[in-house]
Amino acid sequence: MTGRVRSGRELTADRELTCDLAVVGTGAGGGMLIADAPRAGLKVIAVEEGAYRTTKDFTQRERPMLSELFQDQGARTTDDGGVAVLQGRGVGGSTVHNTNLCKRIPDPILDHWADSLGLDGWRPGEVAADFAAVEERLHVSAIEPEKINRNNDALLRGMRELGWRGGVLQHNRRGCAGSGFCELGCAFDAKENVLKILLPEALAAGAEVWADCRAERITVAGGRASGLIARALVDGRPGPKLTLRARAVALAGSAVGSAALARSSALPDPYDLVGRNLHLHPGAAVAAVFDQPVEGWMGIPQSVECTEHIDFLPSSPPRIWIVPAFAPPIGFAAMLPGFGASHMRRLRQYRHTAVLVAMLHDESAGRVTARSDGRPSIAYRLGRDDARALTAGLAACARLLLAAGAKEVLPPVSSVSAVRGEADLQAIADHGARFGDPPLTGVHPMSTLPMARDPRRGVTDGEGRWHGLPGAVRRRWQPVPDLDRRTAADRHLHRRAAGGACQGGCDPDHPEILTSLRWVAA
Amino acid sequence: MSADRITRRRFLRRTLLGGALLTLGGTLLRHASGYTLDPAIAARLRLLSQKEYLILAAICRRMLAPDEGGAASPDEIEAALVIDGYLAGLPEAITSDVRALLHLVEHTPFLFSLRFARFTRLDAAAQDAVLEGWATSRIDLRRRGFQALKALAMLGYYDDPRTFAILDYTGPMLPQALP
Repeated sequence: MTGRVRSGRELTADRELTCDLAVVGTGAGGGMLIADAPRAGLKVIAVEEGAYRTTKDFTQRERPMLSELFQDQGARTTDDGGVAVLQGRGVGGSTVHNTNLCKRIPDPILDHWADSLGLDGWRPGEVAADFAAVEERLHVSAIEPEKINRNNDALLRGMRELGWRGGVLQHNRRGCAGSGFCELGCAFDAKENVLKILLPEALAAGAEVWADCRAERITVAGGRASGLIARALVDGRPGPKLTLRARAVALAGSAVGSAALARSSALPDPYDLVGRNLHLHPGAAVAAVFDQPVEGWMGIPQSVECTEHIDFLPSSPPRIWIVPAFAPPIGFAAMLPGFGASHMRRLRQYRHTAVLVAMLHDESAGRVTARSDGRPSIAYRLGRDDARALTAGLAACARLLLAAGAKEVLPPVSSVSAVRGEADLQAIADHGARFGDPPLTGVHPMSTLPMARDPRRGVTDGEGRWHGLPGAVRRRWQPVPDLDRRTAADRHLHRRAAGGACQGGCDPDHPEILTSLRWVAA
Repeated sequence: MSADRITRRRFLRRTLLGGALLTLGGTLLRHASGYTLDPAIAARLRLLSQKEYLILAAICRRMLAPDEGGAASPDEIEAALVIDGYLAGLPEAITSDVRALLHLVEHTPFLFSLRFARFTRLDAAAQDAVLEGWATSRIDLRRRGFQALKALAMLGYYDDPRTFAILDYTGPMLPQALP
């Protein structure tokens, strides 16, 4: 039996299909599910809002790839425009454009989940084999030293000079040409992601994927999920209806999309948990000019991390993860402060510029709701403590870059135009954070569909079964089990877990895949 | 960050309405016409009105004002047309905000900068001052508006290989990526 990827564009009239499992989304979570569920004897049909694009489509050009690979063509933001939210769109989801970082959930987090949320089977010893299996399947390995580019090497030098904690990351890539365009899709098919690994397995096992189809509503009959209704998208406009009749439905459409769909579908939510507790890991970039060429656009974008300023302890201010984050021209130009002739003069230093990003493991919580047309609405505002932690993180980035030999650091805050020495660093930390200053980007939306044994604390149980909808919506395909945020300990452990799951790029495969595997096994 | 109690869209609409009432009641009314666009360009617009295009093109000229290095102008790159094409693929909820933002920039120099002309009629230095006012405004959503316009301008300009020399950027590795 061989499945196939179809497009909603093929639909000329409404259509109804029947399957055992209907899956919403084909990213890291959905991808693993559609690969494995057919092997368990299930007939699987997945719907994907975006298009099906492959290596031949990845042109290494920003504008067309933003349009092809990202939600709202990369223009998605929180409702007030305060945080840009970058999310994948298309078959493969964010695994198509992420930077391939792979990290396990730290053991203390797993223990915390087990202890405080009643999640069975999540102890470190109980999931280690699953992690290892996924890592083997996706060919996860450490970045070779010779593949660390000069932008990443600047971070390594800075950490070495300062004696700060950090190291080389693990990735799922093979055959990497070092082109540096990971975030625009890999034209060399080196990403061991959904497109390359899981989708072929899924199709070989008989799964069917409908691209260009947006899930509009999960249907419920007799107290159980009975399928879903999707709508074909033709040039962005709604087309014919695709109805899936299913024995089970899996939500794997991201923390934003899944929550919006759950709300649009009015799934049981007696404790008003759906969509709340949104976290984004907002971050801001710090650029620095070096005498020597950096050429940060060449090579693997993110191969090194600095963990000096993140301690994962409850209520602890240090909650900044630092990684390189060099961008192609459009992203770089938009990030660089200023405009006009002075802005262009600075851009002429592009080749000599290194960029680090301070990513915040945020305590601030937002909310995803659904607009009248079903599209998500994202409410989020950075709290004061988080703002303080973030600017401290920006100052840490600047310190690292100076230690690495930068002659000038360009922080993303309006009150500090340039930093040339230690004496200037405090000004960054003192800036605080105003709305839009620094500009923030969140690439790790999470936590909107909490998982807990107690229905008052989570919308699904530890296996992802939706409370109050027995045997139906089985899985919340979040990267990590989300926690109730009643205690500071919960918050911090959750953040740590989320960070471990999501660090680097936009989409960490493991935890989602892990839960998918476990669901299939169950 | 300070708490905002109004949404971006509400801000844009209210400020636009207020600004429009003030300005349209007086000087601006006398200058409400005059948005004439080359028909060849107008025929290529996918989303923006001719007026919106002209405002956007004026903003791009200042956002992308060249330094001494002899860079291609945004008009040569057709940055505003590129942006129009990009916007045409976005949800209406987003594009309506962008369009409102363009009108706001055009019609509020009086409100925010005490300049008695619309943005497209100001000289370059005055336009820069208006944009700087947006960039550094105490009003959160004006700053965000500036960032949105700046991001669009960069998107319309720096994807073009003719701009890569400014950056000393080698560009995509794929030969077929370049025209």
